[in-house]
Amino acid sequence: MATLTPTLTLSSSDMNGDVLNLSATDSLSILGQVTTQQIVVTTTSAIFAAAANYTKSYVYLKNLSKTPAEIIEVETSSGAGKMFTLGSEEFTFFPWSSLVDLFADAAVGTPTLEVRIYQEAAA
Amino acid sequence: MPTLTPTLTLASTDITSDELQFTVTDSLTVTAPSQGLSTYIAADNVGANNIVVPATGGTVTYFYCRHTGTTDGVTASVVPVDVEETGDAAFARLGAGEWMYIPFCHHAGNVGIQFQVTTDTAVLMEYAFWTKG
Repeated sequence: MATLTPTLTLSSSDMNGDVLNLSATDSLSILGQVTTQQIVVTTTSAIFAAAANYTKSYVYLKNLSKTPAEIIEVETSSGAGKMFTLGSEEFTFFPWSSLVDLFADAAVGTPTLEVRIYQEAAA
Repeated sequence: MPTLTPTLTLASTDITSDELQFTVTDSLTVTAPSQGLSTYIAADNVGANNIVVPATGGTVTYFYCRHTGTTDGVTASVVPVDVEETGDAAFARLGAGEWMYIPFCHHAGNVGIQFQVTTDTAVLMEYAFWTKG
Protein backbone atom coordinates (compact mmCIF):
# COMPACT_ATOMS: atom_id res chain seq x y z
CA MET A 1 0.00 0.00 0.00
CA ALA A 2 1.28 3.45 -0.92
CA THR A 3 0.72 6.86 0.61
CA LEU A 4 -0.38 10.01 -1.20
CA THR A 5 0.05 13.31 0.62
CA PRO A 6 -2.08 16.13 -0.81
CA THR A 7 -1.67 19.62 0.59
CA LEU A 8 -3.90 22.55 -0.28
CA THR A 9 -3.20 26.17 0.57
CA LEU A 10 -5.74 28.93 0.01
CA SER A 11 -4.41 32.42 0.56
CA SER A 12 -5.43 36.01 0.04
CA SER A 13 -4.21 39.31 1.39
CA ASP A 14 -7.05 41.53 0.25
CA MET A 15 -10.25 39.76 1.17
CA ASN A 16 -12.72 41.03 3.78
CA GLY A 17 -10.05 43.14 5.46
CA ASP A 18 -8.46 39.95 6.70
CA VAL A 19 -5.53 37.77 5.63
CA LEU A 20 -6.53 34.31 4.48
CA ASN A 21 -3.89 31.61 4.90
CA LEU A 22 -5.59 28.25 5.03
CA SER A 23 -3.62 25.01 4.76
CA ALA A 24 -5.10 21.51 4.69
CA THR A 25 -3.18 18.28 4.27
CA ASP A 26 -3.92 14.58 4.55
CA SER A 27 -2.23 11.21 4.31
CA LEU A 28 -4.17 8.93 1.97
CA SER A 29 -3.72 5.17 1.58
CA ILE A 30 -3.63 4.20 -2.07
CA LEU A 31 -4.02 0.68 -3.43
CA GLY A 32 -4.73 -0.48 -6.92
CA GLN A 33 -5.05 1.67 -9.97
CA VAL A 34 -3.17 4.87 -10.62
CA THR A 35 -4.05 6.81 -13.75
CA THR A 36 -1.87 9.64 -15.06
CA GLN A 37 -2.74 11.04 -18.44
CA GLN A 38 -3.29 14.10 -20.58
CA ILE A 39 -6.31 14.05 -22.85
CA VAL A 40 -7.38 16.41 -25.62
CA VAL A 41 -10.90 17.57 -24.92
CA THR A 42 -13.20 18.55 -27.77
CA THR A 43 -16.64 20.11 -27.97
CA THR A 44 -18.06 16.58 -28.06
CA SER A 45 -18.42 15.24 -24.52
CA ALA A 46 -16.30 12.14 -23.85
CA ILE A 47 -15.86 9.90 -20.84
CA PHE A 48 -12.46 9.91 -19.15
CA ALA A 49 -13.19 7.96 -15.96
CA ALA A 50 -15.74 5.15 -15.91
CA ALA A 51 -17.22 4.46 -12.49
CA ALA A 52 -17.26 0.73 -13.20
CA ASN A 53 -13.47 0.72 -13.48
CA TYR A 54 -12.74 2.20 -10.05
CA THR A 55 -13.67 2.10 -6.40
CA LYS A 56 -13.47 5.32 -4.36
CA SER A 57 -10.59 7.37 -5.73
CA TYR A 58 -8.92 10.75 -5.42
CA VAL A 59 -9.07 12.82 -8.58
CA TYR A 60 -6.85 15.71 -9.67
CA LEU A 61 -7.76 17.62 -12.83
CA LYS A 62 -6.13 20.62 -14.45
CA ASN A 63 -7.06 22.51 -17.59
CA LEU A 64 -3.66 23.07 -19.22
CA SER A 65 -4.94 25.54 -21.79
CA LYS A 66 -3.69 29.12 -21.56
CA THR A 67 -6.57 30.35 -23.75
CA PRO A 68 -9.30 31.88 -21.56
CA ALA A 69 -12.15 30.77 -23.82
CA GLU A 70 -11.07 27.11 -23.70
CA ILE A 71 -13.13 26.21 -20.65
CA ILE A 72 -13.54 22.53 -19.77
CA GLU A 73 -16.79 21.31 -18.27
CA VAL A 74 -16.65 18.20 -16.10
CA GLU A 75 -19.91 16.30 -16.37
CA THR A 76 -21.57 13.24 -14.87
CA SER A 77 -23.34 12.30 -18.07
CA SER A 78 -22.50 12.84 -21.72
CA GLY A 79 -23.24 16.41 -22.75
CA ALA A 80 -25.18 17.09 -19.55
CA GLY A 81 -24.83 16.86 -15.79
CA LYS A 82 -22.16 19.57 -15.57
CA MET A 83 -20.73 19.74 -12.05
CA PHE A 84 -17.46 21.66 -12.38
CA THR A 85 -16.07 24.25 -14.77
CA LEU A 86 -12.31 24.46 -15.20
CA GLY A 87 -11.17 27.75 -16.65
CA SER A 88 -7.80 28.26 -18.26
CA GLU A 89 -5.09 26.75 -15.98
CA GLU A 90 -7.60 26.03 -13.18
CA PHE A 91 -7.40 22.79 -11.18
CA THR A 92 -9.42 20.73 -8.74
CA PHE A 93 -8.85 17.89 -6.27
CA PHE A 94 -11.66 15.82 -4.78
CA PRO A 95 -12.50 12.34 -3.47
CA TRP A 96 -14.59 10.70 -6.17
CA SER A 97 -17.05 8.16 -4.81
CA SER A 98 -17.05 6.38 -8.20
CA LEU A 99 -20.83 6.25 -8.28
CA VAL A 100 -21.04 8.29 -11.47
CA ASP A 101 -18.93 8.41 -14.64
CA LEU A 102 -16.85 11.52 -15.34
CA PHE A 103 -16.98 13.22 -18.76
CA ALA A 104 -15.11 16.21 -20.20
CA ASP A 105 -16.54 18.69 -22.67
CA ALA A 106 -14.84 21.80 -24.06
CA ALA A 107 -16.72 25.06 -24.51
CA VAL A 108 -14.58 25.82 -27.57
CA GLY A 109 -11.33 24.58 -29.07
CA THR A 110 -9.29 21.58 -28.01
CA PRO A 111 -7.85 22.22 -24.53
CA THR A 112 -5.73 19.57 -22.84
CA LEU A 113 -6.94 18.13 -19.55
CA GLU A 114 -4.43 16.63 -17.12
CA VAL A 115 -6.01 13.71 -15.24
CA ARG A 116 -4.59 11.92 -12.22
CA ILE A 117 -6.65 9.30 -10.41
CA TYR A 118 -5.50 7.42 -7.30
CA GLN A 119 -7.65 4.56 -6.07
CA GLU A 120 -8.17 4.41 -2.31
CA ALA A 121 -7.22 1.35 -0.32
CA ALA A 122 -10.38 -0.32 0.99
CA ALA A 123 -10.99 0.48 4.66
CA MET B 1 -11.69 42.65 -6.71
CA PRO B 2 -9.84 40.39 -4.25
CA THR B 3 -7.47 37.67 -5.38
CA LEU B 4 -7.60 34.09 -4.11
CA THR B 5 -4.44 32.01 -4.56
CA PRO B 6 -4.97 28.24 -4.38
CA THR B 7 -1.90 26.01 -4.29
CA LEU B 8 -1.97 22.24 -4.39
CA THR B 9 0.91 19.83 -3.79
CA LEU B 10 0.70 16.09 -4.43
CA ALA B 11 3.54 14.00 -3.06
CA SER B 12 4.35 10.32 -2.71
CA THR B 13 7.53 8.27 -2.54
CA ASP B 14 5.94 4.88 -3.14
CA ILE B 15 2.88 5.24 -5.35
CA THR B 16 4.73 4.29 -8.54
CA SER B 17 8.37 3.60 -9.35
CA ASP B 18 8.74 7.30 -10.11
CA GLU B 19 8.57 9.65 -7.12
CA LEU B 20 5.57 11.96 -7.22
CA GLN B 21 6.20 15.58 -6.23
CA PHE B 22 4.53 18.48 -7.93
CA THR B 23 2.85 21.76 -7.06
CA VAL B 24 0.31 23.78 -9.00
CA THR B 25 -0.95 27.23 -8.20
CA ASP B 26 -3.36 29.76 -9.65
CA SER B 27 -4.45 33.35 -9.14
CA LEU B 28 -8.22 33.78 -9.10
CA THR B 29 -10.26 36.96 -9.06
CA VAL B 30 -13.20 36.52 -6.71
CA THR B 31 -16.23 38.48 -5.61
CA ALA B 32 -19.35 38.24 -3.48
CA PRO B 33 -21.19 36.23 -2.45
CA SER B 34 -18.48 34.53 -0.45
CA GLN B 35 -18.11 32.74 2.84
CA GLY B 36 -14.88 32.91 4.80
CA LEU B 37 -13.53 29.86 6.56
CA SER B 38 -16.42 28.57 8.66
CA THR B 39 -17.53 25.44 10.47
CA TYR B 40 -20.89 23.78 10.20
CA ILE B 41 -22.41 20.82 12.00
CA ALA B 42 -23.97 18.61 9.32
CA ALA B 43 -26.68 17.33 11.58
CA ASP B 44 -28.19 14.40 9.74
CA ASN B 45 -28.62 12.39 6.55
CA VAL B 46 -31.04 14.83 4.93
CA GLY B 47 -29.11 17.04 2.53
CA ALA B 48 -31.81 19.69 2.39
CA ASN B 49 -31.23 20.32 6.09
CA ASN B 50 -27.56 21.09 5.51
CA ILE B 51 -27.29 23.58 2.66
CA VAL B 52 -24.01 25.50 2.90
CA VAL B 53 -23.86 27.20 -0.50
CA PRO B 54 -27.11 28.82 -1.55
CA ALA B 55 -28.25 28.64 -5.15
CA THR B 56 -25.44 30.15 -7.19
CA GLY B 57 -27.44 31.48 -10.10
CA GLY B 58 -25.16 29.59 -12.47
CA THR B 59 -21.94 31.35 -11.53
CA VAL B 60 -18.69 29.51 -10.84
CA THR B 61 -18.15 29.03 -7.11
CA TYR B 62 -14.73 28.02 -5.75
CA PHE B 63 -15.64 25.70 -2.89
CA TYR B 64 -13.45 24.17 -0.19
CA CYS B 65 -14.59 21.78 2.52
CA ARG B 66 -13.03 19.37 5.02
CA HIS B 67 -14.38 16.61 7.25
CA THR B 68 -12.96 17.49 10.67
CA GLY B 69 -13.13 13.91 11.92
CA THR B 70 -15.30 15.01 14.82
CA THR B 71 -18.96 15.56 15.65
CA ASP B 72 -18.36 18.85 17.45
CA GLY B 73 -14.66 19.67 17.37
CA VAL B 74 -13.86 17.19 20.16
CA THR B 75 -15.71 13.89 19.84
CA ALA B 76 -14.22 11.67 17.13
CA SER B 77 -16.29 10.61 14.13
CA VAL B 78 -15.36 8.57 11.07
CA VAL B 79 -18.82 8.66 9.48
CA PRO B 80 -18.44 9.72 5.82
CA VAL B 81 -20.18 12.82 4.51
CA ASP B 82 -21.49 13.15 0.96
CA VAL B 83 -21.12 16.48 -0.79
CA GLU B 84 -24.13 17.04 -3.02
CA GLU B 85 -25.67 19.63 -5.26
CA THR B 86 -29.00 20.77 -3.86
CA GLY B 87 -30.82 18.48 -6.29
CA ASP B 88 -29.52 15.61 -4.07
CA ALA B 89 -26.91 14.23 -6.49
CA ALA B 90 -23.70 13.42 -4.62
CA PHE B 91 -20.43 14.15 -6.39
CA ALA B 92 -17.95 13.43 -3.59
CA ARG B 93 -17.72 11.48 -0.34
CA LEU B 94 -15.39 12.72 2.38
CA GLY B 95 -13.94 10.44 5.05
CA ALA B 96 -12.51 11.74 8.32
CA GLY B 97 -9.79 14.29 7.66
CA GLU B 98 -10.39 14.41 3.91
CA TRP B 99 -10.94 17.66 2.02
CA MET B 100 -11.78 18.85 -1.46
CA TYR B 101 -11.44 21.95 -3.60
CA ILE B 102 -13.65 22.41 -6.68
CA PRO B 103 -14.81 25.14 -9.08
CA PHE B 104 -18.50 24.28 -8.75
CA CYS B 105 -20.82 25.21 -11.61
CA HIS B 106 -23.92 23.12 -12.10
CA HIS B 107 -25.62 22.58 -15.46
CA ALA B 108 -29.03 23.41 -13.98
CA GLY B 109 -27.83 26.90 -13.15
CA ASN B 110 -29.48 27.94 -9.94
CA VAL B 111 -28.17 25.13 -7.72
CA GLY B 112 -26.21 25.16 -4.45
CA ILE B 113 -24.20 22.70 -2.36
CA GLN B 114 -25.25 20.66 0.67
CA PHE B 115 -23.78 18.10 3.06
CA GLN B 116 -25.44 14.77 3.75
CA VAL B 117 -24.03 12.55 6.49
CA THR B 118 -24.20 8.92 5.38
CA THR B 119 -25.91 7.91 8.64
CA ASP B 120 -28.27 9.94 10.80
CA THR B 121 -25.59 11.50 12.98
CA ALA B 122 -23.70 14.77 13.27
CA VAL B 123 -20.34 15.63 11.72
CA LEU B 124 -18.51 18.93 12.05
CA MET B 125 -17.48 20.23 8.61
CA GLU B 126 -15.18 23.10 7.71
CA TYR B 127 -15.93 25.03 4.53
CA ALA B 128 -15.52 28.24 2.58
CA PHE B 129 -16.53 29.52 -0.84
CA TRP B 130 -15.95 32.42 -3.19
CA THR B 131 -17.70 33.46 -6.39
CA LYS B 132 -15.62 33.82 -9.54
CA GLY B 133 -15.14 37.46 -10.41
